[in-house]
Amino acid sequence: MSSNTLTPVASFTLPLVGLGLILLGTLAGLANGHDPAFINVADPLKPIFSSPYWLGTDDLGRDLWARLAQGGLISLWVGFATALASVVLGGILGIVAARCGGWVDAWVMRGVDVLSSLPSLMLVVLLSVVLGKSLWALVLSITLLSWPDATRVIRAATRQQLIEPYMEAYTALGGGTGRWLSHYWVRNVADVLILATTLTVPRAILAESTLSFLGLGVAPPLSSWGTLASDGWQLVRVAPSLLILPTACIFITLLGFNSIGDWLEARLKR
Amino acid sequence: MPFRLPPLLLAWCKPLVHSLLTLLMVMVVTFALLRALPGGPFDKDKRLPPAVMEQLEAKYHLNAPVWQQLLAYSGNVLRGDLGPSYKYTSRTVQEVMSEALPPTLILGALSLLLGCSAGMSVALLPWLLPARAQQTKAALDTLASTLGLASLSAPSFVVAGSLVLLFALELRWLPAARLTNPMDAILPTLALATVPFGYTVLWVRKALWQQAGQGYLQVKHALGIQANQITLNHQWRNALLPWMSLMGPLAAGLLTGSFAVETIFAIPGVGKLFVLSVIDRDYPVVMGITLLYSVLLIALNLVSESLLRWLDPRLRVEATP
Repeated sequence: MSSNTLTPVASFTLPLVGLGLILLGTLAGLANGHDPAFINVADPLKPIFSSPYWLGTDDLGRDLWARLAQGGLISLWVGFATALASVVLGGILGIVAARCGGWVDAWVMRGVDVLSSLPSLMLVVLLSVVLGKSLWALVLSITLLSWPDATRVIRAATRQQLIEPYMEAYTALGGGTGRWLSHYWVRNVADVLILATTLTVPRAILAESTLSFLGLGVAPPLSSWGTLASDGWQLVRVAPSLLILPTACIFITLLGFNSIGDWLEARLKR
Repeated sequence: MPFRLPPLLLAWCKPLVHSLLTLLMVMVVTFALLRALPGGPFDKDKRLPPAVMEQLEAKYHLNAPVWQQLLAYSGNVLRGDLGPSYKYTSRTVQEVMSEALPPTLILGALSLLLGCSAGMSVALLPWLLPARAQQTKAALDTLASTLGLASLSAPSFVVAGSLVLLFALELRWLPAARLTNPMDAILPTLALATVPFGYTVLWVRKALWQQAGQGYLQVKHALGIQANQITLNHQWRNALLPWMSLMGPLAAGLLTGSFAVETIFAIPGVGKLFVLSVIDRDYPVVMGITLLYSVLLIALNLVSESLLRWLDPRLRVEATP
């Protein structure tokens, strides 16, 4: 498509600054010396900006900042691990489908279609019940949800590479698939891979936080932003900040990643 | 001369056969997944005596091999019988589902309507401004994409929670829960509408910009056609195409409910029923809702495909060999 107008993107600086603040806050919260699991019955439900607890405490007197930091670590970890896993899985399947073509391609894409025809969040709910509540199970079930999209995108980009003129010359000179993948494919579809990863991270965090909010995510000794929001929801009438702070963390993080994705998408348009 | 199907029939048959195959696969996959769940439908806190257990399993044919159960189930589905619910004994899946469907369908349809029309207006508004208002146009356009990104960045429970906190608990303008009179529908509809709103704004806006760079629009301008007419009749119509193909999955998802929103607003809908049924191992209800979703998805995709063909004559040409 020959579009000479570059699509302008949404304001990009503010979400990025927000994301940076959240990341810094998470790091600082991990280092501030408060134990997120330390129960202090003497100081329950402290408000924001009270002296040793800058962001207040929850109903058991646990430092909210430390809990947010630990929860953020879990949420971000799940987001990145899932994005990486689904891009790797989608990449392998996409390459195989595009390169082999024929019935292999047809079967892989049919599988992708079937998985997309299952109710997405419902599928994750099912899987999280099957696989239990460990962190890896969570990553695995959200990956199963997001690899079809990655496969579709990477297959399309790979197919586009296969019909480029350089490919004909490369094949005529006797080049093999391995060298093609490591030397040409990686460089030519790098933008697609980066974009797919950037777009998967916020979706994975969204899925994780929704699952945790429903009580199907990470199990009690660990907590994520979703679990914190769910706990805060129980106490919303007493201490709204317990709901507002974790949900703000989720929102700002997702907005940051989505804005990066939006910006990359507009810039990397082929 | 060999017999050949008429091309139009072929164009309709192929997606139909594909859909039926997909539906079959969905059924098999879900059935297998459900049987892989640890625990059975009759594992209660208090153990039932083995004799009772055996009788229960025999009653629902749970003692047969899985493939036999699947065959029996598929036969029943073809006859329009989704089986009995395990949890709500003495009631069929149809009865359980038809009770949960109305609130979900109403909220889904309302939020789809609201989200799409609001999103469409927000995306289109900057383009309908007079040519001299370039600065306002840029500002509105940035606002549109920021709004779109923001509404996709807020998980539904976040939106629902904030709405309840603000309008029901603080301002006390609107009821916080249940669905008994029309006023109750406002907050859940708003909470559900963010997703279609965000997607509509972002996709339509992107497509409008892509169309703006096309030469044919300049030709129209050169011909002296009014700017707003070009925007609505040509630029917008073409920009609808990518959005149309997105609507199928989105609508199917909305019409089968959201567990988070239904839980927060205490609405006994399909989304809530599904998750509770998975937890209770009420296999037939889970299967019923999954099939409903897949049928909806496939039907809506077929509809959006035919709408696409109606909107885009190029697809019609390609469909006839």
